[in-house]
Amino acid sequence: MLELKDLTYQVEENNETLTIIDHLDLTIDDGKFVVITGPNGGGKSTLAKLIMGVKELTSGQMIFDGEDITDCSITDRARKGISFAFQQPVHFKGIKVLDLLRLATGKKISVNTACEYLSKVGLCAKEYIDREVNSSLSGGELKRIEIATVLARGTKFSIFDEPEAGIDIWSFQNLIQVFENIRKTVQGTVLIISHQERILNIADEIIVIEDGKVKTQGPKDEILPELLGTADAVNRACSKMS
Amino acid sequence: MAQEKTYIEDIERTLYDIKNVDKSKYKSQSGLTEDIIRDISARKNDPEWMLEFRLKSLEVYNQLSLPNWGPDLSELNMDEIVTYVQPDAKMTGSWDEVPDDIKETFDRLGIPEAEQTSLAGVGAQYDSEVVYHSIQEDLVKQGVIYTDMETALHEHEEIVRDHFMKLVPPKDHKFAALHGAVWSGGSFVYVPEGVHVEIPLQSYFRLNAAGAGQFEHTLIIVEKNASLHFIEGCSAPKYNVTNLHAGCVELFVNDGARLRYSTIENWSRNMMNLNTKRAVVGKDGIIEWVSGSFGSHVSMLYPCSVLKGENAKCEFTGVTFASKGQNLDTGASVIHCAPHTSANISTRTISKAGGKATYRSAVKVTKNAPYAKCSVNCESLMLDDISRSDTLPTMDIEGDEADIGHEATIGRISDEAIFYLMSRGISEEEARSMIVRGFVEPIAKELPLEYAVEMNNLVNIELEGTMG
Ligand SMILES: Nc1ncnc2c1ncn2[C@@H]1O[C@H](COP(=O)(O)OP(=O)(O)OP(=O)(O)O)[C@@H](O)[C@H]1O
Ligand SMILES: [Mg+2]
Repeated sequence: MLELKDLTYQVEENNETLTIIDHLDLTIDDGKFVVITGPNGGGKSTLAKLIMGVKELTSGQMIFDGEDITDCSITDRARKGISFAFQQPVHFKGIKVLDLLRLATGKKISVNTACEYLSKVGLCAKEYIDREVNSSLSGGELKRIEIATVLARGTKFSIFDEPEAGIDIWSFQNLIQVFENIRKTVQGTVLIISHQERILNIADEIIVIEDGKVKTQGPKDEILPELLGTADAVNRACSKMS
Repeated sequence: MAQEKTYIEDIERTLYDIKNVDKSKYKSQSGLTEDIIRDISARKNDPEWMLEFRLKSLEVYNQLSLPNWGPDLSELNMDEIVTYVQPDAKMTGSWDEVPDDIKETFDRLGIPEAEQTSLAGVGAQYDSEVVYHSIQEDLVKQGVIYTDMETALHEHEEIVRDHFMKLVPPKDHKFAALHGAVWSGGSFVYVPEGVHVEIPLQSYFRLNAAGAGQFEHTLIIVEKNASLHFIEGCSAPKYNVTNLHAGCVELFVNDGARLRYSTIENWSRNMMNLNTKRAVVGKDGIIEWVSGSFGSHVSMLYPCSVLKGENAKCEFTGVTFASKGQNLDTGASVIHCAPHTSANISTRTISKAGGKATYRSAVKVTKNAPYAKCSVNCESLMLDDISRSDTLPTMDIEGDEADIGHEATIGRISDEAIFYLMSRGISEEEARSMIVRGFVEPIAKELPLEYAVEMNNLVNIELEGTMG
């Protein structure tokens, strides 16, 4: 279980203090498939980075499985079982796709095992495994490789920030399947940030973040109609105006 | 990736820093005067022409001024440098005869052990003189000569006279002149025509005395269609006074011959390393430089390859790592003097903790060198905001149909990359060294195994910041 208590994150900009996450309280239960959504700039990505420790809180407390991780480094959080899919996998000289997967698992997994992870995200593994991670790979390919590495980690708590971004329409269907599979097979908690209805649709629970606060949180069946209702209303309003 | 391939327990920097009590048999006065040079020459029992050469060099030294470019050398005060320190040891071919404290030093550096396992010959210099030299018997039978410069000067006087400072004349620059005046020690290698020395030879230079200079001369002649791999290592303990290294390396690679010259330089942080290395390569010959610069307070080192014969080749692979208090100015130069000569220069420079690393490349294609080909690739990595890396390429192309490529990148380790690796459960330190190891990997794989290991360790040590 992850408990966020009175979480605040502020940045200084031009001598002004901006509050990005504002006294946020949130509890995420084990084994849930949770989707976070909300308007652009609401603080979703920031929240995800705070959980991973990539950004440092201004104040508040984080408890993971009963343990206070507020002051833990990224490394420690990772070792305690939190994973985060970055927008892109890291690339530096000499690092290959296989290395990324081995890094993720922390083991010298075989080429075959590595290939299985890649197949899960719809990549024809053999072609990729030996490639250097650099700009010769397309944005969508990088994204999928990154998702595969988080799958490979198989930790208790995995965070994906807009996994669908940069993935073409044809592959999108595939990706939904990937996440449906994750939902069925992965034991741990999965936290996805997404604006996509089809991803929201497979959630157990939906959380709406707005202005750095939790606006609503509840089972999908309750929240989704509300959200879609708002969207419908907006659409209708817009069509009237035009 | 590097992590699993060559993950090695860290060695301690203190290995290099262990100082022996100065038990030298004789030390010249500090400073540089004609008397001092006459004294050194007499003690070394130089032939007359060598004494003259030294005195001429001194004259040249006094005429030349310090370079008006590169790092600041003003803290070097020649009046305080002791140019000749004779260890209390005779040159020998048996480690048992080397005095205990000196032998222990080389033991710690792993030299006798490497001699047993992976080298065909070893030279070990302590302060100004070579204390140990060996070469495998079968090489001797094939006519290979590997000995200290002093012995060569007496036993192969003609060859030495024909080659000594012919490639790097004293008037080349102030420290070449200094070298000509006070040189002592170093190695001489002669590989006869058609002989392939399959296992490397290695000379190790250790400077123990505080406030001293080391001026070893390395002269290597590889005759037609012969080949050799020569390894040079150097280190010193750290003192609070300035030490000076102004060695000189002259390499003669004849037609169809091949020489690989590898160096891992690991001087202490009080060293001014003003070293000169040059190779001349005949038709179809190949010079390969592998150069790792890790130590020194200030370094100026730009190995030069003169591609004199048609189709001669140069491969230069270098890595320079500048940390706190270091200003390492390194590079490579190539002079294309014949048709179809080619060169490949590939370097990596890293700076951290306020260190400054500059990489200079100079490529000259003379009008006698049509169809010359040269590709330069230098990459720099700065590990933080307070460190600096620069690359300064120059090209001077007169030959027709030259094919010259140059690529330089300067980058930083991004926080994003570090965070990424940490999010995979890797510690911040290991993340940094992983990135650096990936960066230097193309160089590391060129090094002989023990040296790759040593470089790996040095990289780890540097990154841990355990060094002053
Ligand atoms: N270092 C920073 N300096 C200034 N503003 C910042 C900083 N980091 C985040 N912000 C601001 O905080 C707000 C929240 O950003 P965040 O990326 O968390 O939003 P988001 O909910 O993920 O949005 P989106 O749906 O567009 O991805 C934005 O207005 C952003 O501009
Ligand atoms: Mg976002």
